[in-house]
Amino acid sequence: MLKTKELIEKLCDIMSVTGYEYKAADELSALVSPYFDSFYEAVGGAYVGVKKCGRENAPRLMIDAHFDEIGMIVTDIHEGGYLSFSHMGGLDRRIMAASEVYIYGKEKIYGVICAKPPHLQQKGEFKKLQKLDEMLIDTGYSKEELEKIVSIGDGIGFYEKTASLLGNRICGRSMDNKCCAAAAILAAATVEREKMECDIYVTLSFREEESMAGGCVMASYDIKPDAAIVTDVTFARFPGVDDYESVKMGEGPAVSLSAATDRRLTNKIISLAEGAGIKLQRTVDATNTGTNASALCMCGDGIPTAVVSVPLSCMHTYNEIIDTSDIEAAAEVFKTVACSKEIFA
Amino acid sequence: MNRKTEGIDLLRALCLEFGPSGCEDRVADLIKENIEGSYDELIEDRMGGVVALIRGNGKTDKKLMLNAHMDEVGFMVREIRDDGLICFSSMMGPDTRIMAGRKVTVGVPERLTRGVMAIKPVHTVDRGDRDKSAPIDEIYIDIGASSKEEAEKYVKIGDYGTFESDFVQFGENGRMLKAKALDDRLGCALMIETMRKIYANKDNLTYDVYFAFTCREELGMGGVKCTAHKVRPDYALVFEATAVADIHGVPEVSKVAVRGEGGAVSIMDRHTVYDKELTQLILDVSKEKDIPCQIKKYVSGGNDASHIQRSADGVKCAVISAPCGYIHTASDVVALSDYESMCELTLAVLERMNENA
Repeated sequence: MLKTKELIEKLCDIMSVTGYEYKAADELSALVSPYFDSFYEAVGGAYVGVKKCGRENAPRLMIDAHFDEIGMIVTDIHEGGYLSFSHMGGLDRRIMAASEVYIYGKEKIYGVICAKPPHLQQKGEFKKLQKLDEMLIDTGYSKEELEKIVSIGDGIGFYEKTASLLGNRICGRSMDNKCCAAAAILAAATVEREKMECDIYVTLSFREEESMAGGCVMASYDIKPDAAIVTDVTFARFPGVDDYESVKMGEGPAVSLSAATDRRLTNKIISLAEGAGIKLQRTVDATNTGTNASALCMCGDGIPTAVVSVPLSCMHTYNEIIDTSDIEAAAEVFKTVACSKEIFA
Repeated sequence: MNRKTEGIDLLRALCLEFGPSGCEDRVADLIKENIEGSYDELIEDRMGGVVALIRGNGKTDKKLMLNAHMDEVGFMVREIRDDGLICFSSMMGPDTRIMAGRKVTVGVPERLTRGVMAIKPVHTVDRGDRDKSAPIDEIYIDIGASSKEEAEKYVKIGDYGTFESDFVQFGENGRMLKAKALDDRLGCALMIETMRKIYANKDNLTYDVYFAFTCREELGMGGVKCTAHKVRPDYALVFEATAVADIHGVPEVSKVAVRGEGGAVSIMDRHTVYDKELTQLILDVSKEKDIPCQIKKYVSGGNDASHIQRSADGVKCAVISAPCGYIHTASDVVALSDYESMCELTLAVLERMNENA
């Protein structure tokens, strides 16, 4: 049996910084291809896992989870083995000082983002964040040796590993959006083929963190889905985050009520899931879901698209927190949808 | 379980252990296990330190104390909210840039729980505030509890906390070490290794040497003050870690010390003017034996030497510090060669003091 936490952990271990998703191909394929009928890379856009119901001309359900993660890119190499960098995706500068990274050059090497010692700081300087171009990574190499391994343009990801908190909660880097990728994979892996009413196309798509259109758009032209569910993370309730824009961790996934998504599809998902006894929370994202959905719904002849999201704390830090019960519930939602006749009626 | 180790393994074990200021018991236990069989007597220390004596051969009645502190920077639990999130007070200064996002360990020696220093998502920070670090009262420790009741089973008000951070060897040929608490578990490891070597060869020892692993340095409270008052040493050597600013772009004049160029000997810092004779002896031995060491180039910081120096009738003190990048963060970074040369230099200095006695 596929264990949720283990799957998420293994997915998180795979580096997939925005723009460098191609590097994940072998590891990802080895990990998840056994759960699909076929697993391939749609050029430039996504890794696609297909599970067919076995009937001809069955409708196609696309479940899109972006697979890229926030990270950095090497912009300069300095004397003493220090690196300058820029961001790939929306970096949170509040967490950068003394944080740990891997630089993905010819080999993977470790580095620490330099923090300024107090005696060199002006009074009150700690209240201010450094600009990214003022930050440096300490690699512990001489410049000459470093240049043999690292080049300008190489990707950089955070170092942090997945770890358990209380109960079903886990923390680590790139939970956004590996946890949703896990939900989609879990659904495809465990759904009974005889009960499926459609073919499932799980797209683990590229470049959401930079363009929010990402590779799912390109992949959709090839797949031509009849309906799509975008699954991504959403804000968990937290002090300073308004209740209306956050949901409760551990109380199930949320559906997005938005002008950018298809309300008929959304309503069907709600009634199917709740009919099957799965609790769904709601987020109201009036004009923009902040996910791939906005772009995906306009692809080709148009794709009815809904968003099923999972609560996550500390978004865009290297210790994002999720509850694995929410991931399992999201997987149940996808399975319920894939096994329903009504969804494509 | 035998926790007796040496070399990098000893350093790793010490750094990974939980021991914020005022809560050093776990580190003390680990040290006791590692010095077993390498001393003549354990001296009671009311401040919670571990003090071990290796007796000299009686040639002199002078006493020498070696000192490193066991505690590390940390924080303390202040409040547990209804939603299970935990508010804390910093015991490591006000710079939240090195706190937000980190994994932490919270609790007391017999009950430890993992948490994350959680902050609200950057997407919800007002545009105008995006250049500001997270205010400390907007960072909460999330242990994964969903209510106060659940959290209180694992964490209580007044509990201690530190960073959780891996011990990593990295850089060219693995020449750098990164861990939490290298300040000052590196000093503790050095003293343990020194004890083992000296005790195995103790017939040559002229001084009574006290090895004091002490508490509460990071808060400036100096648990060592009482230890020194009790021991009454004539000389003290303090082993520490010191901030450096040796990164790219910092002018030479501002580089306090440089990692990889040996232990840093201080002439003076913000709290202590070091004993000239003892300091010169260290510098001389370094030169004669060709063991690298450097002079700390900036009058900054301070350490337990200030408390030892002013204890009882006064003590002649010197300090050797490992140059440490990003000190007081979860990512202290030192050069392995500095640790090794400091160990070597310490033995050479003790040997010279023996000869001089």
